[in-house]
Amino acid sequence: MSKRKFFDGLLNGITYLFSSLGIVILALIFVFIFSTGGSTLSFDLLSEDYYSTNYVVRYSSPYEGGNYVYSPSDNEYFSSKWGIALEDTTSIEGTDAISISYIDRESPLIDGLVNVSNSNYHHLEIGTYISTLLVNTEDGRVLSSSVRNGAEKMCETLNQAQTITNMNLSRGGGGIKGSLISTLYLILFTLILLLPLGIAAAIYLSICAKDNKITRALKTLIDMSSGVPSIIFGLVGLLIFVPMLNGIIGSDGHSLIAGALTMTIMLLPTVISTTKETIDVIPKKIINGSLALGASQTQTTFKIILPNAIPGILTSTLLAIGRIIGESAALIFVMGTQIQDNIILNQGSTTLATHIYNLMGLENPNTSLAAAIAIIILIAVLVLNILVKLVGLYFKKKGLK
Amino acid sequence: MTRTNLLKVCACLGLATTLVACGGTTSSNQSSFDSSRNITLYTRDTTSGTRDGFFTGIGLGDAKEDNAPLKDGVVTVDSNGTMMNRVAADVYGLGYISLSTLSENDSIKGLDYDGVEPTEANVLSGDYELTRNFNYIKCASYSDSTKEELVNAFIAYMSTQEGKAVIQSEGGIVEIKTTDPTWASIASQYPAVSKDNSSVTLNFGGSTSVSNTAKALAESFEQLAGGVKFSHNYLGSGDAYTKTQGSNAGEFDLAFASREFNLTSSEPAAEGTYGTLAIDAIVAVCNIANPYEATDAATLVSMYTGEVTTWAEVID
Repeated sequence: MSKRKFFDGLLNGITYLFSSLGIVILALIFVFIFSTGGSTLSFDLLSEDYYSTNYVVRYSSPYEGGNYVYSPSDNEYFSSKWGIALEDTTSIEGTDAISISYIDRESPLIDGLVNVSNSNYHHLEIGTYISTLLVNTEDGRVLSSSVRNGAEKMCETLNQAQTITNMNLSRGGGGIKGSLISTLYLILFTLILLLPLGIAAAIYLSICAKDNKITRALKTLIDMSSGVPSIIFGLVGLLIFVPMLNGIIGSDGHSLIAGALTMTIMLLPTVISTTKETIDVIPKKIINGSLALGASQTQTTFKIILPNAIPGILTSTLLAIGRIIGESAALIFVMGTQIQDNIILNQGSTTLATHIYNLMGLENPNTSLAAAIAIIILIAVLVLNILVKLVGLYFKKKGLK
Repeated sequence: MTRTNLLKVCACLGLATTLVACGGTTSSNQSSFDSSRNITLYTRDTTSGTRDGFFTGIGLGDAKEDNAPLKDGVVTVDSNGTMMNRVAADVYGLGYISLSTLSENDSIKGLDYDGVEPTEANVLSGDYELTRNFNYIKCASYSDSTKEELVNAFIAYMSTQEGKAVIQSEGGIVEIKTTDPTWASIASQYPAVSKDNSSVTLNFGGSTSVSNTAKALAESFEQLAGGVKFSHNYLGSGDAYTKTQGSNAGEFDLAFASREFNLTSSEPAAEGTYGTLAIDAIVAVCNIANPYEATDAATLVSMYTGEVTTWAEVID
C-alpha cells in the first residue's frame, strides 16, 4: 500500500513539475517581452509613419545674440542666445534623440531658418528632432554637434554660434502605421480569396463527391498539406506567384497581392478541413428532411447546410487571421522586408511580423521596438483565440435551445 | 473546486515560484567573475570588414578570410549588433566591434589597446592604432549622365563640412576643418542637384558597418539634391567592388567598404573611382563584469590562436 502510494506520489510530482516548468517558461517569455517592449509601446507608435520627414536648414546672416529668459526643467538645456530649449528624449521607436522643447516667440530660429532644398523660410515647431548641428563661431572656428553628444553639448555649440551652416531636422517617424495597415490589407485580401475557395471545396468534398479512391486521396492530400512548413509555400509563392503577378499587375518583384495568394494556398487546408468537419456533423435527418420536403440539393446546400456550418467557418476564419498575423518566413519571400508607409497593393511591404524581422536585421537591432510589436501580435492572437472560444460557446448554447 | 484540486493548483504555483526563484539566483551569481574560466572568443564572419580590419590590425592577417589560424570553438556571429549582445550576455566573452557602436550597450566595455583608450580624440590624433578606413567606390562608367553627376555630387558632399557633420553624428571619425568647403559653396559645380530629381533612384550598398552613415548621408543629401531617391542594400564589404566594377557592375551606383580594396589582385578598381570617407576604430570588447582593462596586439593574437585559454593568464 505504502509502495503504491509512493509511486503515485512520484508520478504526480513529475506531472506537477513539468506542468509548472511549462508555466514558468511561458511566464518568463511574457515578462521578457513586456519588460523589453512595454516602455516603447504607445499610441503614437501605432499612428505614426515609419519614415520621418527631414529638413536641412541654415541660418546664414551673422547673429549677435539676444538675451532670452526661460527656466528649463531637469533634462532641458536652454540657449539664452538663440531663445531655444533642447531636451534629451527618446524617439517613438525608442532610440536617443534631441528634441526642441521650447522656442521663444521672438527667437530668430522660429521663422528665420532657411530650408536648403527650396530656399524658403522654415517654420520651426516644438517637438522637432535635431540630429546634427554645424555652426561657425564669431572667431571663425567650425563646431559641430550631433545627437550622439546629447542636448547639453548641442546647446553649448549653439551658444557659441554666429551662423548656422547646417542643421538636420526631422519630424515624426519610427511608427508602425504602415505595417499595421499592410497586415490588415493582407488579412482582408487573403480572406476574400480564401473563404469562397475553402468553403466550396469543403461542400464538394463532404456532399457532392462520391466516396471513391480519388476523393479519399484528395482528403488525405489536404490533411497532409496542412502540415507543410510555411517556408515551402513561400518558395512556391516566390517562384510562381511573384513572376506571374509581375506580368499581370505590373508589380516589380514583391507585392502584397502575392502575399495574399501565398497565404491563401497555405491556409486552404485549414479552412477546408475545419468547415468539412462542421458539415459532417450536421445531422443527416435535417438534410434528408429538407430533401424529402422537395428542396433541391442546391437549395439544401445553401439554405440548410451552409447556415449550420457557420460556427466552423467562423472558427476557421479566426484561426486563419491568427496565422496571417503570425506568419513571417513565407512573407519575407513574397512581400519582401522593405518597410513602407503608403501601402500599394502591387508593391512589397512588411506585416507586423516581418517588421520585427527587418528591425532585427539592422546593424544595431532595435530590440525594444521589436518587443513592442511582439506585444501587439501577442495581444491580437490572444484576442482571436478568446473569440474562437466565445464563438464556439455561443453556437453551443444556441444549439441547445 | 474540490480540496484536492485546490491542493494541486497550489502545488503547481508553489513549484513555479521556486523555479523562478532558482532562475533569479543563477543570474545574480553570474555577476561575480571567476578568472580561472576559459575565454569565450567571438569573431565576425569572413565577409565582414570589421574582421578584416581587426585581424590585419593585430597582425593575424591570415585569419581575415579563414577560421583555420584561430582556436577551435571560436563563435562566429554575423553582425556588430549580435556581437554586442553576445558579449553583453557572456561574462567570459571577448569580441571586437566598431567604436561607433560601443556606446550603445552598457553591458560591454572597450579595452585599451597598446595603452591607449579607444576614444574619438585618440583615433584622430593617431595614438589609437587599431583602425580601419571607411571607403567608397563608384562605377567606372554610368549609362545615365544625371546619375553620374549626382553620384559625383554625393562624393563631394561627403567631404564638405555639412557631410562630415552627418558622418560624425553616426560615429564616423572625421575632423571638420575650417578649410573644408561648405556644401553651399560647391553646390553650383553640380548643376544636376538643382533640378527635380524625384524620379531618380540611386542604389547604394556594401558594408553593413557603413550602412548607418551612408543612410544618414543619403537622407540629408535627398534634401540638397532635388529629392533624389535612394535604395539601400547593405550585405557586406565584399559587394562593394563586385557590384560597382566587378562581375555585377552597375547593380550599385555607389558602394561602401569598411576595409581597403585589394587593388593589386581581386579588386582592381579604376584610378579615381574610390576614396576614404571616414576612419573607424575597432575596439576589443569584453563584458562589464570582467576586470580585464587593457590589451595589446600580441595578447589578442595569443588569445585568438588559443595559446592562452583562461582569463587568469591575461589578467595580472
